[in-house]
Amino acid sequence: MPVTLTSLDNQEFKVDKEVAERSILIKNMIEDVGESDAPIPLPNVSAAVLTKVIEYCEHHRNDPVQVQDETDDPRKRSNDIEEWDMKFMQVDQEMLFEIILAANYLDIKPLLDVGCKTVANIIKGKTPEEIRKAFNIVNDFTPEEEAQIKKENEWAEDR
Amino acid sequence: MLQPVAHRRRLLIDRDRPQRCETVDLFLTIPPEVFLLLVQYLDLNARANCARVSRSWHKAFLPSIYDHVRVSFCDEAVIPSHDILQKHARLIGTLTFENGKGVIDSALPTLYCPHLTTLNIRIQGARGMDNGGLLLQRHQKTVLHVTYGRKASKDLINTLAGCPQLGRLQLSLMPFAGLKDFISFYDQVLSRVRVLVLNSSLTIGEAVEPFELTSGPRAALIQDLNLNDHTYEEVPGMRSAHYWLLEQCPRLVRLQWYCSNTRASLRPLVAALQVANCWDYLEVVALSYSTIDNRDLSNLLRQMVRLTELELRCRLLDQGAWEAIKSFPHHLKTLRVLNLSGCDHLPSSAIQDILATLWGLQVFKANRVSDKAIQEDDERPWVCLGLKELQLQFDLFIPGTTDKILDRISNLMELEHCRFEIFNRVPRKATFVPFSLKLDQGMRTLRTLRKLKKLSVTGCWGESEAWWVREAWPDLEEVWNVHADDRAQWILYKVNFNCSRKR
Repeated sequence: MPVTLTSLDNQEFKVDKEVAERSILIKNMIEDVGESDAPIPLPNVSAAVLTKVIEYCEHHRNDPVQVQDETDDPRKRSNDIEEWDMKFMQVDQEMLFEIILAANYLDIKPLLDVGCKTVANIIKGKTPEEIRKAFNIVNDFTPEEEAQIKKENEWAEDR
Repeated sequence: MLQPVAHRRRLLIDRDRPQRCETVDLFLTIPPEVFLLLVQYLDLNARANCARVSRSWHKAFLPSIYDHVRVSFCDEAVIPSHDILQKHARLIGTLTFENGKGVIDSALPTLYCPHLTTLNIRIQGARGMDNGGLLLQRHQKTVLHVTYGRKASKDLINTLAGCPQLGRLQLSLMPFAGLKDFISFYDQVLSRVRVLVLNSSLTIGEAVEPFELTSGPRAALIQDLNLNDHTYEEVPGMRSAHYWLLEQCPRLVRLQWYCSNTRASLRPLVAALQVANCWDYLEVVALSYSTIDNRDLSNLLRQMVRLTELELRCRLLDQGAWEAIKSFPHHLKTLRVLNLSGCDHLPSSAIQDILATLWGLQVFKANRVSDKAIQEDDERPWVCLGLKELQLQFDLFIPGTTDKILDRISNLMELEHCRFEIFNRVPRKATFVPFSLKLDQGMRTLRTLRKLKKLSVTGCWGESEAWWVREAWPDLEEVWNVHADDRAQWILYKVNFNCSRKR
């Protein structure tokens, strides 16, 4: 049975229930409301982002439900992104962050993880200046501050 | 199917626009819980670089650098100075000192972290002095977990006694000055923690047999007890202190008990658990003894109605031990983890029987099984189809049984960690040669193990194996003992290869 989702800009998307239920938020909504034809409003997600999110859920519609890995490993791997997901995440940065926000709001844990891993991979191995370039950030430190912070965190580098 | 009713790509940013016009910092748009998730994927070095990007990034990333500070005294260059730590002390939740021989209290004479909950000290220091004792003293009010890797002196014990919130304690103890001394330590510290790991024996220093106590039982809060008794010789009062401690634990859930003394038996342990009457809670038991009497084991198992994990280390464990487990049907239903890898002499027939009986098993580790036992019991398939972890060595005497073994393993489709070795006996000789897992030698049989993450097996992989593995085992992360050539490693770039043997 298809479900209708309404985006922030009032566009309607018809998707299979099992695809929509990749989102725990939507799954809970459907469970709470019961069978209904009424569209589900998603006032925090724009149509462009929702299109991407649905594309992801379509591709992963048959994935087994992720078991929460509570091993509490403080360092998680970020180099294990599937090929399809990696291609899927090749979007501009604005979109990347919007996908992360949407995944968080819609409660789609695997998509949130892939998004965070993608951002982490952009950061890894870069110098502060390279990170600024990558994310378009202006260095607002005074030279003195910058030197001091570099000195303070020296012990944490090259570890 | 996806049916965009009306769909138009929203253009938020014009990609042709020159850089630096965009002043919105995307990082500031993500909520804190997502930021914490993201930070977990960054190592310390990357976090430090992020903190140097801009003022707002500095503010955001600093807590993730100082939340857990590890000080390794091996390398002077990476020891943060006292001033730096003091400046960010409010952010520090965990302090770990490891490697080398630094003297903590002189390096950090006044450091005070108001939110410190965990203090791990795993280094040596000057003799006769508590390394880090003063640091602990300043944090008595806040610490919840303390690890102390060297012998704790009387002063340190007194400091521990003054930690009102202590919940997890791991330490080695100096001998006590008599029974009174021990009892007061028990009342002030041991009885109040929930998790207790003792890396040395409780040595009272005077002979107290049987353990003489003036007042009645003193129930401890301990739920998880791990005792490592490394003494080979009987020390007066020592073992009675161990069992007395155990008797005070009515809420015990996990018990790990390692005993090096070759003459020690399981009987006093069973008796102490009987006194503690923790049977309604006890779920996880790991025992290491040089001999385990099957009757004692049976007496122990009879009481443990909620047992889910059992580990036994004992060279001389035999068929009777498995019979003891088997004679209580409730264990057959509830047992999830069975680790018998420390039992060298467990007969093959018992191992085959375990695999064909315990259908609820998720982890099974044992030493070795011969193909004869499996062949003799050929009618009975392995029933533990939910097995996620398997560790076993197969000794094959009968030529041509390799395929049968691989076929049996291939039925365990939930396997995530698999460590197996197959040895084929050389005909007319007493030697065995390791079987090498290759595409033309039965590897294809294991195609069904789709969930495989970690694999340890002898093998020699080239390009064709690598392409096959990429297709068949998409989640594979780590491989041991396989020699993979450069091309294969390039194809399997996501897999970590750990190979000790070069071929």
